[in-house]
Amino acid sequence: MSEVIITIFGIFLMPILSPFFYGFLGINVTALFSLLVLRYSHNLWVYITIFILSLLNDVTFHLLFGSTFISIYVSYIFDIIIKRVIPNETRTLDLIFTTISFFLFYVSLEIFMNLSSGSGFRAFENFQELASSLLYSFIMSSVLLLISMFRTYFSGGTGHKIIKL
Amino acid sequence: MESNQNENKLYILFFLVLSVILLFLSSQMSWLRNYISYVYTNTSHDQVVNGRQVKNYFTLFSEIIEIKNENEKLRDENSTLKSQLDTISFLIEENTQLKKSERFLAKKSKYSEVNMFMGEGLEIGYIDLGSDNGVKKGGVVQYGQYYVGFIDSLDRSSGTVKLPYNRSSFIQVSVIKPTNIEGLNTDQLKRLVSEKTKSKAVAIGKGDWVSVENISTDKGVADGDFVITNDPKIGSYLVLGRIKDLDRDPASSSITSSIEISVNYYDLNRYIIEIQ
Repeated sequence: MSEVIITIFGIFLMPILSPFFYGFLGINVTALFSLLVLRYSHNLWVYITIFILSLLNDVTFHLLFGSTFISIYVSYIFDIIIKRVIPNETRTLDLIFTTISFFLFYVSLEIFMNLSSGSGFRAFENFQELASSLLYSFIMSSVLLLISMFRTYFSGGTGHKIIKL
Repeated sequence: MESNQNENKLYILFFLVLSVILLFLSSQMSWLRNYISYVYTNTSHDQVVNGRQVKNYFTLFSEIIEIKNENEKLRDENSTLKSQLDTISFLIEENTQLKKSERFLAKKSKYSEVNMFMGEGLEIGYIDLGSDNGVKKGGVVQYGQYYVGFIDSLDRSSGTVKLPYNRSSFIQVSVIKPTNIEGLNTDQLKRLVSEKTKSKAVAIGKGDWVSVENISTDKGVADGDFVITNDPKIGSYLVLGRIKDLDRDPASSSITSSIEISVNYYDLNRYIIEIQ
């Protein structure tokens, strides 16, 4: 996946896809896309794309500017740290850690949301919000895992082939 | 390679710092928010609506199943209520009939209501009263002024009723002209029988039908005439049915016919029985 494709996809299609999936499943596709891209690619255009998308997300959810970007990086930093601690992770572990990464994204986003609405420094208002965030995190990490599996299969990697030829 | 990594770290740091600055300057950056909002919010809103519509489309299937289940449940409930209503209507009708028949019953005798259930075929019925309830062998079971059968065997809490269809049932009867017999009491029916009898005969059970034999040929008995019991062992005048399908054999000294029995045993359960 080249940076040009990421940029074109990110800037032109993600702003349309992200709110659609928010309405459809309630999940934040911007975070999903960002973590996926950040895992495999590091380029100025990638950062710019993610930054623009996070600004759009801030406007959509009436958040303080930069909230989504910082939340994405919180989850990304956790992803990097956990990969350094447990480098040879299995798919199950990957699913669990990615879920935690996305959950941290939601925690951070909720904190910023409460700050912007003047409710103070706190994450979830009730257990239902926490549970739904966990569920969304799980859905997103499952999708991310599937995309990773497809990616490794089509790019010819040996580690995570779906069908071994 | 190392310079690339350093560049990446620099980018991350730059955008993080930029985000933090934006975070603190957020309230002053309303012009940027307004600009993005102007360009993007409509699209975003439309897409959220589209997503919800797709979601609703998917949830529609589960709703259809739910509606189907609810429909089946309501249909079951409706059937139950209908059958209950039928039972209640039937009981009301039966009760009305029984009340009407009270006028007919002899005042000196004691009567009781009894439930009778049919055995296989039309020959035997089973009642839920026995000798403990004062029922005696040979007692007559009736439905108002209509004859049903007589007690054939009895134990303490139940008994069997020999119906007119029974092959061993022989009842002396009178054939009378068709007339209005509704609301008559025992004495009036007795008077009617003595006044309007065309012929005496015998009703014999044939299993699934009842024949009337020994009808006089010259008395003008016709289809539709009433057949009234006139038998000492029954003791009272009760309507058995009406003449149907007369067999006029010129060579025969008497006429034979079948009877259309007035009481439908399968539709009724509650009857009256004379007790001691």
